[in-house]
Amino acid sequence: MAESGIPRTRHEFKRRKKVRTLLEAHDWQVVVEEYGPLVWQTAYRLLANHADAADCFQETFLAALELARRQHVRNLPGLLVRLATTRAIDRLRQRARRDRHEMGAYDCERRADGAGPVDRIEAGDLAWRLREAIGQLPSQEAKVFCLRYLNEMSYRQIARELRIRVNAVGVSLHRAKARLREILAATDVKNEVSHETG
Amino acid sequence: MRQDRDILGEAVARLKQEGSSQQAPKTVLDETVRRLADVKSDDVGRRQARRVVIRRTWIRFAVAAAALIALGCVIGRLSRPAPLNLQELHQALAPSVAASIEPAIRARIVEDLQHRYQLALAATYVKVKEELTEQYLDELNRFAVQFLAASNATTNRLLTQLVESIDTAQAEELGRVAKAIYQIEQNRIQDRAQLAAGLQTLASRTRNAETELSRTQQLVQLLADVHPEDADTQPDLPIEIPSERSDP
Repeated sequence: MAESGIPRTRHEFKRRKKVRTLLEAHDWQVVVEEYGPLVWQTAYRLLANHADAADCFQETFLAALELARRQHVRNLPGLLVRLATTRAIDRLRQRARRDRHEMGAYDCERRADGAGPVDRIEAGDLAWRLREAIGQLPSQEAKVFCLRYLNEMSYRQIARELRIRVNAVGVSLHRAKARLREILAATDVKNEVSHETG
Repeated sequence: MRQDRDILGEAVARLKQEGSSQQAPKTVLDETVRRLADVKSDDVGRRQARRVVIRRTWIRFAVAAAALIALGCVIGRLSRPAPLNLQELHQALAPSVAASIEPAIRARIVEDLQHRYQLALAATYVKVKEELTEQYLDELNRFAVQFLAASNATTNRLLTQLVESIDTAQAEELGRVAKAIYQIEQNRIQDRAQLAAGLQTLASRTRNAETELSRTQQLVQLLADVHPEDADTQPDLPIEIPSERSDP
């Protein structure tokens, strides 16, 4: 999440100024070209599905357009990442509710490059389990966890984007990690038992 | 727990690694830009339509409000009561109103007058009392002055009389003292003269002193020898007792 917060270089400052000018001029094509990759990475990382990521991508920009009309946007990248994360988590939760015990929706078309087949399967399985676990978390805890560990936002940035206190961010993050560890450990034990019996 | 933490960290790392090299498909970007443009155009048309609708709605509201106001005016004019004849109403109501109000007005006037009289009497009483007090004090002061003057005159007169009487008494006393002194002086002069005469007599008689002494001795002798029972028998001797004071 290098786009949020105070600009550190002159180039970044100029780029942000340009984006702000474009946003004020309602030139959203440039905004999409500028921040499209960031939003796509955020959405696809959580959803791992092209169709869902594309829907989430479009919904994110549409929601950002609506928000930009209603209020002044100070940090557009932070807003886009937050919107993309929220929508992706919503889809994850829907998916978790819909086919909690199925694995067919998982798109395995992309694997880690340079790894062996076992590592690829293991890595995909671990990432999928984490996605499923995030889908089982409460909404705010899932958002805080994703913004912190997947988008590398600071506590203060997360608090500003979600409009909560910094202490609440810490508490939510702690709870999210504890639950994720429980869920991951439980699924790990279940997989081991199934492997042994199989 | 260590294993769980490793699993979570590994899972996060895998997840980040999966999404890091992903690029948004061109179709998705184009579709998003197209939808954004549609939304913007729809929004512009919606704004214009909303403006027209709002304008028409305002016209409708204005016409409806004007119709309601006109209807209200008509209903008000039709339903208003007939105008009253104030003179007849006054004539009809005057006796009853007068009859009902007159006793109260009388009582109010009487009460007002009593109140005013009481206030006036109280004021007059206070004023008279103050004047009488002032007059009394003036009279008292005047009497005190006159009394003091009279008493002073009387005291002066009495003191004058007293002084005169004292002077008279002192003069009489001085007269009597002078007279007494004169009498004493006269007596002294007389006594002096008598003393001188006596002394002359004594001097003249002293010439026969011896004889007289012897004679006295004899008489004493005789008296010593005479007893009391013999006294009656003794012939009376001529005894001459010299007077202490001889007449001048």
